[in-house]
Amino acid sequence: MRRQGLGQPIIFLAFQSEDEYMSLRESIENKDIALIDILDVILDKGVALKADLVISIAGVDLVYLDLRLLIASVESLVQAKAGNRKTVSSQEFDIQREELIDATGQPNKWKD
Amino acid sequence: MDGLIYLYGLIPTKEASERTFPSLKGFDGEGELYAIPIGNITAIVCNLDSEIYSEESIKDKTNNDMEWLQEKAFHHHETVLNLSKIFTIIPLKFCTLYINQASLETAVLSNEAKMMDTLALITGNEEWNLKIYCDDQVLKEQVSLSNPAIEAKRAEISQLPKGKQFFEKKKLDSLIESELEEEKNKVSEKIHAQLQQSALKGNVKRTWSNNVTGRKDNMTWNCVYLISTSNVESFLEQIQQYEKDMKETGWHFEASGPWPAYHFSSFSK
Repeated sequence: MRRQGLGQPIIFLAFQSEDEYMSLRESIENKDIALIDILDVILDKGVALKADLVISIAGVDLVYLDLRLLIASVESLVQAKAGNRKTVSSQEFDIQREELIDATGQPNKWKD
Repeated sequence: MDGLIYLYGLIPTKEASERTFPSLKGFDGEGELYAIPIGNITAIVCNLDSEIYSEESIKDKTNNDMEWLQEKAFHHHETVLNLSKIFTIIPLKFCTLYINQASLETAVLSNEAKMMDTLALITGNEEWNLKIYCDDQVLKEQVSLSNPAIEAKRAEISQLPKGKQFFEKKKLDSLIESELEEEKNKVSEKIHAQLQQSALKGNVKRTWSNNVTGRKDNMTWNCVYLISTSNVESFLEQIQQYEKDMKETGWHFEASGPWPAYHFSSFSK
């Protein structure tokens, strides 16, 4: 399970159930995780031990919505980067794009 | 040193003494993580400059600087995730801070028994999340064609005079909608019951709206499972099988994990 986000090298491992070299858990473990899933657990579900200072974020749902906008901008940034890389064929780019759209849960803005 | 202590997680001291502690960067990207043994529990922490990371500045950042929040949220998650690959860890909430070591020690010692119980529960087990999505349009067609109540109603309507048919068709549409919701719940609950047989615990979560997911299909199920590591592969195979069997009828399954045991570490009550 890896993260996707700003400034990270984007390496996609397509989910291939037929891949005999990779177990199902490995292929899922290597999938990108959307920020929203991370925030959901670390803001809402992490253990709340009595502390001197705990930063609580009011209206987590609103934070999610704000983040959607941020994620959308990260997505286009990453797409531009992937498009500029010479080693990426257009077919691979399409696969990466679909993976990214899948990972972020964003609707597909691109027409195939 | 007049600094804050950022607490990432709690691990058994026994594991801390037997396994190599990794080199990981702290919350500020400069300092290193280190371990503080407190009896049977070891706290994994980093130091933070209290002038830069005051309560006010962190609150301001988390509320107004989304990029900062994203970066730090990823940092917290990745750090705990990396630790969870080496140790059995109780993951703490984002930005849990102590003003000094004594304060941290007091908090840990007063919960030691509960923490030991939690560690015993999660040792050798993994947390996995499953989200089930459904394309309502595709499923609606299925429901509309194969549901006996709807079929009977349709047959009844065809016998009526044209004028009456219009209103009855409206009623039929709302019947289809309610049957669709019922079908979605029934299917999700059935799958959950089957999956729970290979899991130790299942914790049903709130589903997210399309506004939050940004997807066209609807989330019909959101659940976390605590699974013995040896059962994970078969658990995932089971989910893969559902996906294969049900894809045609509009269903989509997304599993993610293993997560640090965020949902099965709670001991606040």
